[in-house]
Amino acid sequence: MPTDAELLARLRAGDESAWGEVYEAHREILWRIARRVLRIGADGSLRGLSPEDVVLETMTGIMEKGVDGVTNLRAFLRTSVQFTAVDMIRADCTANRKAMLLLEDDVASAEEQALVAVLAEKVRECMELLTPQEHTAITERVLKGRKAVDVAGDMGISDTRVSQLVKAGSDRLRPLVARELDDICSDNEGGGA
Amino acid sequence: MNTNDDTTRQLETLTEQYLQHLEEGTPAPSIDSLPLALRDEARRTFAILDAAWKTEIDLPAFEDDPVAIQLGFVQPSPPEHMLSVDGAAVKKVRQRAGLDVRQLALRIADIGGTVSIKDLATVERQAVTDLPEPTVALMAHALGKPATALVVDPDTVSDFIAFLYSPRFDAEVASWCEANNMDAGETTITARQRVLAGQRRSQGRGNVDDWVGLLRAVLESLR
Repeated sequence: MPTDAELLARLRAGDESAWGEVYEAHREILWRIARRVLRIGADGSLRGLSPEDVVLETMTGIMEKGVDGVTNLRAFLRTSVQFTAVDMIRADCTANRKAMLLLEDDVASAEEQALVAVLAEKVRECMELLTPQEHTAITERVLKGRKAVDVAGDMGISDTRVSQLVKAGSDRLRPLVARELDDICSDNEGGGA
Repeated sequence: MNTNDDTTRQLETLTEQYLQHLEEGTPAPSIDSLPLALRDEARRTFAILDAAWKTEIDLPAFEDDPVAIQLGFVQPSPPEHMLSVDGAAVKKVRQRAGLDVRQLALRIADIGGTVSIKDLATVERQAVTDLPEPTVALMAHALGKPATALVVDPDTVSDFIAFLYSPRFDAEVASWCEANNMDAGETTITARQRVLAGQRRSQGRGNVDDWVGLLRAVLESLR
């Protein structure tokens, strides 16, 4: 698998075939952010939009504009999909003639979700720094959303130990994602959970 | 037990309660009972859990990714070749083999397929049912007959599927397994699935020599 630097160099040299490799290498992050901004799952997707629409629009957009000036491909894709998702939500609301207040609510919610999506990606990047047990506990209990009892059974430990590992892993992650947490938590200062 | 232990335990409990809130939609735990200095820590931990919760996604294989297909990064899989299955013929062959529908379903499972008892019964009840060719081939293999014995028009069965369930295929796998001290049963199932996937990607082209070559490459990848 070529590195991001190699892919960027090939794209700048006009090698269009590198786009497929860019997408293959980074599609998970594109889909994850698109899903988060559209709030697929707990709150359902926004009408008329799907993660597929957002990912496709993101890729076609960056393929048209190219990668001049891009130094960090992963960060560039992450930002591109965030902005594309928010823009598409705004356009969808406008097309459906939503009242201005609702439109602003939707866009604000999407922008908030975009920040949460960035935090989630940063957490994933920092997972390598956890101990193997913390990594497994957070992956299974949090990222996959499995029940504590099932995770405990698979790991051969107690439910309580799983909670301890999740807490310990979170403690280790917190300073590593401090900047992304600041972006989210600054709006909630002073409030309870 | 000192105060630090108490605080750690309290935060662990709150962490688990917050996960239960995400899991079951129960109210988020209150952090009001925490010392002021720890509330920000708890709030930030909750933000991490909230952001990361259920973010693991199960994407389709790159070859089947709808965006990759639309952007031309991969060729779409060719539509699955369907065969018209003769329900009465299936029932007759099954009964002659001395099997009931449940036993047939189990045999199909044993060779790597998944056809439910209900689906088999439905196929037998209907005069004609269109099924994907690999499914028909699995049913035929489980019954010890060629796929042509189960379909309305035997000429529609492809040479590739005939090869996949042929003595030639089984002999190639058995010979390789013997030389490499591998289990022939499991290897046959895995090899068949991978050869089928490989042939789909090449859109059905090739002849028996090509397929044997593909099978040998698949077997080597299992070493």
